[in-house]
Amino acid sequence: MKSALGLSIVVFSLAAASVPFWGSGYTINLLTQIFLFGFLASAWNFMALTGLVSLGHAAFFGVGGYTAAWLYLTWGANLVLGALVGAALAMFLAFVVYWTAFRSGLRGIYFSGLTLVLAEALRFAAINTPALGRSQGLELVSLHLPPFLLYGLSVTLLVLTVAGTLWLLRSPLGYRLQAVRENEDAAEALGVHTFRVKLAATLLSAGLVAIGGALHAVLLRFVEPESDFGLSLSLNLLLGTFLGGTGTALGPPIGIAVLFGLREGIARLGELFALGSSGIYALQQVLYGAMLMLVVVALPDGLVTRARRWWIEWRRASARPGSAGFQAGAQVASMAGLEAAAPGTARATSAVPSAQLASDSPAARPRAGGASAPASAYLEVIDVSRHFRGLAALSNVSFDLRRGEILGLIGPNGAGKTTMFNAISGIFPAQIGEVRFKGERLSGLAPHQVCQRGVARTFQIVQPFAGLTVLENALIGALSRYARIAEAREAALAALVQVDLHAKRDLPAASLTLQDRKMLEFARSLATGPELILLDEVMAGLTASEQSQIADKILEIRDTGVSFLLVEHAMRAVMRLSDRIVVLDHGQVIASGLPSEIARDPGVISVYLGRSLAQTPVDRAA
Amino acid sequence: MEFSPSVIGQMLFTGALMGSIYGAVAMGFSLIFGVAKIINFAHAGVVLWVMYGVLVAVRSGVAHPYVAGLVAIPLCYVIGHGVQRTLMARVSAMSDDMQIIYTFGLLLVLTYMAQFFFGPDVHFLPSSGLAVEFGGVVLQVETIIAGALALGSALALHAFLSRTWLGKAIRASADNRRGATLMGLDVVRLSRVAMALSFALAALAGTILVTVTTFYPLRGLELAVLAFVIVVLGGMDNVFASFVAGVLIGMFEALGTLLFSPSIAHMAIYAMIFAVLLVRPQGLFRRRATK
Repeated sequence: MKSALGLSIVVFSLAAASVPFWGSGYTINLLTQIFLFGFLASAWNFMALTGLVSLGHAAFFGVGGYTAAWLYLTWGANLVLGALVGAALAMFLAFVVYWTAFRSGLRGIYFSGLTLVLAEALRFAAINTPALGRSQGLELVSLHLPPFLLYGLSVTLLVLTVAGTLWLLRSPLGYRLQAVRENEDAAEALGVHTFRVKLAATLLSAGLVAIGGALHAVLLRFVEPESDFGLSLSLNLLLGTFLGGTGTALGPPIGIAVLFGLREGIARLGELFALGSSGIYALQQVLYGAMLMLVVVALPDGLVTRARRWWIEWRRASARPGSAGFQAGAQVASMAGLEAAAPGTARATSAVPSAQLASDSPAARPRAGGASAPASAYLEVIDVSRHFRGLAALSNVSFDLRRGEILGLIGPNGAGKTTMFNAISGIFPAQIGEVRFKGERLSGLAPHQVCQRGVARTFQIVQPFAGLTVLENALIGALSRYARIAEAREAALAALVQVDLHAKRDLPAASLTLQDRKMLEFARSLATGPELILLDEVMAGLTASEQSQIADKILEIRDTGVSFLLVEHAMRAVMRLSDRIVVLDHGQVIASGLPSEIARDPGVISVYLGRSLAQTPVDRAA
Repeated sequence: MEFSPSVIGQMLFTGALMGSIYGAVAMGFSLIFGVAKIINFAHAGVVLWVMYGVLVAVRSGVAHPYVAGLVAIPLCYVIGHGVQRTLMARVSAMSDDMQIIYTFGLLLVLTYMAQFFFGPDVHFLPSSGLAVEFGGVVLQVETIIAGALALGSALALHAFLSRTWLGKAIRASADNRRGATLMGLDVVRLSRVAMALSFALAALAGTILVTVTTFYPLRGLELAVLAFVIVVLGGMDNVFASFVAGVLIGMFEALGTLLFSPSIAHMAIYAMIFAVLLVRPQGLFRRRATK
């Protein structure tokens, strides 16, 4: 797959290089535009990789074009320099705007609206600035460039960005971007600095689009508010990318090529029926609108992803005629998902490794062994309080967890157990009091920093990265401690072996059963190399035998030196697993002690257990 | 130019009246967002087509604008019902981003269909020339009627949503779709009613807009952005707040135009919304929701 893509890029470059020898001026001009917009859409795609949809990339496009044109006209500055300055300005603008937007957590309509309003505000700013020629814009009349220069430039930029996207998709940053797209909270909890990752993708995208804007200004020899800052440019990039396939390397340029083809077709038809340029333009825009609607309804993954899926299914079908069983179907789905996200991972492993791999695997080794920390000061929760408006979710909660211990945290619904988890893992930091791990303050750290200090968590409602494979899910966790993909993959595989998901490593996470999803959630947190894992109701919704399997796993992993804080309603499992238990009610600790003590505690029985568990055989699995 | 009190008063009154029409456009957008959880950028496209419809009716001598409007409102109600059954049936299940893209597509289709059939030219209806003067402030009769109708519809809609059973049911289904379904409300039918109502509002807004301003196809895109801006200012799903925000935007625009120029006024509005989005994305009039 990889070499085929490389080959096709080489073939494309050669074919593109031959065009000046036989193409007409019209062909060259059209191809320059297609390649330029293909490049622009690829740049837009970098931001879309994180799941962010921008309706205002025209802002950066215009900044690039206007900067280059203005510098050229007033200072006679070199156009390349102008483009680079424009890119720097656009990145600065993107930094200021998106930094604020990500900080305040804008999403969905608010985020898209913000990008839209940004471009519109700049459009009106250009209209109101005499130095930028107001609504007339700036003309680059005196500009003379060697023939084919722009054509060559746009081909080069396109090839470089597509190759760059291919590389990015298989790089640590690429996996992090996809994790953010699939589920931002889960990514953050697995040690991904989501804020920085989103900002990086956004800045890259803005800078490249600005360079494209400068190139476009040179190509048309003018900049003008409507064409440079207008909504239609942003929608063009969006439509091209969606049509081709968001998040793929080839999708954006292919989508753009299809769009330009349709546009030219309409222009020809319009000339045939003598519609006039305004009528042709209107029809083209109507077609764009209709395509937007159609893509959303019928082709949300885009042409490239769809074609790839067909191709894989067709190959499967022709290789094994007549066998269309469940397994084949799942395999196909997994291939499709895998290829879309990252060609190459499929070949990562062949045979199932033995248990030996599990025992001395990186995942089994806690990040920083060393029993230097005193037993009493492992995880300390000191007087933690957290309010939501008037509601005190936690008040003055204190407890501690010793190294190598499994501590159960129980209590009725609404007692504040999950809030406690969120306070430890940094999602809703404690307002009063503090959390310490191995003597170091966790309070005030972001979730990814908490994860990097060796405290991993799972979510009560499982949140797999549904679009990624099982292995890639675990890989995201492993990337929190390994910079290189190969090492991270080793650790991810080891974590999958530990939870018996190794055989399903190439399936898409979305195809797993609930139990397997819970195991995957577990594996992901193991892959981060934790010393302490917070398990939030990992047993909920499972059958008794599944619960006991998970309990066995927990004990097994504890024996490798990992501690656990366990929120759970499955009492038999809690009683069996926990070394000690802390009981929360209405945000306060009402009891703590050994399981046998808790089971007999009258207060606990009245608020939570309902009846004494003293007679329950806690030593046997439920 | 002298900024006498009467000039400023004139601008503020005209601005408020124009703003109430913007508010009427935005209310429909906000209603369908608040109720059916559909981000419908195409709403402004409906307003645009009503404007062209009224124009054609008046130009061909069939009807007075207000009479045309009286026909357009129930007609659009029915069309809205049909659109929710067909074009929009699957939209509420989509993610925010997909809804935005889908309805933007529809907006492009509506806007440029108008350009294809009616050309890119600017159109306007002849004014009646009647005006009312008080304290040095001169207001066109059409503007006053437009403002009164917009205000009246805002009050009526508010009363409908807060007092009647149907209105409460619609709000309940917006607040918690699953909960409303479990309480026995037919959420699908309610969202059809909401879409029909928002189309009827679009018809009203289009009718009164056509009597007071010039228009052209791209007005559709402009109104869509403007409606979005107003609704953000008011806090996405609060219908009456959208109306008030519309009035504010209208006055802001009029003052900016008086002191500088229309395009500077627009830039200031966008800059302001930009700041609002970054600082108070929940809108000016609402407290931030707890997580």
